[in-house]
Amino acid sequence: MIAGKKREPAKWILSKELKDTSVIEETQGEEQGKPYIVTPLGTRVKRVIIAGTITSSSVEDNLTKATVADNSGAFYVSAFASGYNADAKFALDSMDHGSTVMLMGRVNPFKTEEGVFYFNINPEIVVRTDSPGIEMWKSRTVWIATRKIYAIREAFKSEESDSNHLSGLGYSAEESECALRARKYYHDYDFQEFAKIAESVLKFSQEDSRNAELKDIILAAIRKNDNDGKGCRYEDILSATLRDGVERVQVDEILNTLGSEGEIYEVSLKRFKAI
Amino acid sequence: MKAKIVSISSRNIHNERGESTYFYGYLGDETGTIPYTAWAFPSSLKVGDVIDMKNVYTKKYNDTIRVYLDSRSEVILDPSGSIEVKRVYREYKIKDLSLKDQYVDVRGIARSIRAREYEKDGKKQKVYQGFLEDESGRVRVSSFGREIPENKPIRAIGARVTEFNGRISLSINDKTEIKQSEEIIIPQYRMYFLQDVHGPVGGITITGFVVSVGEKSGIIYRCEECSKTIQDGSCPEHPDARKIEDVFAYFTIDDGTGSMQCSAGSDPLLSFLKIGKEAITNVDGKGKDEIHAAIRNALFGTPLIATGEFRRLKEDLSFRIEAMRKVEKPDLKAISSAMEADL
Repeated sequence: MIAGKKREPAKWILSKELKDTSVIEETQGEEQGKPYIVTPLGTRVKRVIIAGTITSSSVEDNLTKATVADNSGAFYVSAFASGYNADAKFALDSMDHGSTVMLMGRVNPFKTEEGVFYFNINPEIVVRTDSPGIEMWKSRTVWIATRKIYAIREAFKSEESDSNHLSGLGYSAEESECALRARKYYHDYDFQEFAKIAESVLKFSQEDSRNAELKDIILAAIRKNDNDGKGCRYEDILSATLRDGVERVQVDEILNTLGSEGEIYEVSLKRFKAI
Repeated sequence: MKAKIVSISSRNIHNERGESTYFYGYLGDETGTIPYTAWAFPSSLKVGDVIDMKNVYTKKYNDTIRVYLDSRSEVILDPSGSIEVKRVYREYKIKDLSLKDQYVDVRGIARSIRAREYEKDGKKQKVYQGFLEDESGRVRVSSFGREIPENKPIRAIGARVTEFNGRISLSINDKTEIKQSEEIIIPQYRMYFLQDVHGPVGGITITGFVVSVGEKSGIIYRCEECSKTIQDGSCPEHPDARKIEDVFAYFTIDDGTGSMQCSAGSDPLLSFLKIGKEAITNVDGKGKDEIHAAIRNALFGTPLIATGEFRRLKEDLSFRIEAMRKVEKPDLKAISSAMEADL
């Protein structure tokens, strides 16, 4: 960090918010580096913190490209072997498809001659994270977006509403400023649609979390009830899960998933063993 | 306007016009009290004086109406004047205490109260010191001469807010009214977002990702006599004292609404790293590097839930961690509840 200069704050945003961005600020005279972008929710961004699952990657000596999905879309990441952030490239290289990561990086905007915007993230930090880390990021990011959407709705109610008015309604300075920028630059944006997608990210997330819990319950039941070494009976799995209000169809789905993930196998008809 | 001077404080400022002093405090009359700022103020005036003021103006500052006196204002002492000031104190949650309002009405439960004797004007006096906590936070509290009922909900009307060593504290004196309060339920976590923390109070929990770990995190040495950190081989004040190993980490947590410089001493750090004190005793250069690497590997990029105390260092807040751990599944419910409450 340069002495006397504050670190550029990192914004937690969904990939949809980045993907739908169509405002790149002009850099002023002495300003250096990448320009700020202004997202549909009014977030003024240079640096982001994202989390998600690596869905594709291509590794070359000097450059690794990857996509990180967050249930609202995907972030595009380019990590270089040269420069200050070579460690981030090597960390990214060590991740497999399906790995879950937390990543902090600079947004690199690009606009084609046809007026199409592309946003690439050059990572400074790439760290493997687990389910609670992903959950925390998703729920917090959706919460931040939702509060911004509420503030934007208030800002749209009157052209005269300013940051004082929004602060008076309980919005933070950042939320108020974002709402006013959204009103200025994204008058026709479909905020309703965005809110729906943000909500679905949380729903996916809760389902993922519930499924992970169910897997643990079912695996424990199989291990516990394999008394005679011939495998756990399907009925015993059902009785162990019914207590938690799990439906039979969900149990069948999880058994299939555990089978395809190599965690269990069916020894004989309706008898299961954990590996 | 006519009023009694309830308090006077002064502050020196330095700007492009040079150095100057301004005065601030409270004025009062039979209807209540109001804060003031005086850019010019007769130095002979003292607390308790009744004054007539002309050409003063009021303005809202930090959500509170203040009286301002400048070079055009006229202040005349009324030596025979007498005003019975009606004290009005605003109710505050502990998290929201600040020097903006110095006399407050606050509820809380006093904890860890210890009596200490001191001498004033040749007489032995007692001060009771400890903590006051409510559902929003925790602060240090001192009571001069009056015992504070411990572990019971109390209401302190007219307690004074001060800031010492970068921390908000409450001071209770003979003018503070202490009453029994209705029940206060202390939550398991007082979980806040960084955007909502404005003052240096304690008992707060934050959650976020660790985005940087200080290069000097690791084993440090302290003087056995004074516990101060030793920088150059020995303690300048106790050169013959033994050096004791200690461990320390500083890092930045980002929670999506802001970032915060945090520090953790040996208790939270060793517990987080799941190692004992022996791991940091008599270590060589390689061992030190290993401890630094262990701290960095355990913290960097980790989703963390940390409880501690905010302190003001110069203008910025920092967070001194008392307990921390990696965010696990059961924590997500508490994190979600805090967010839902804010939607």
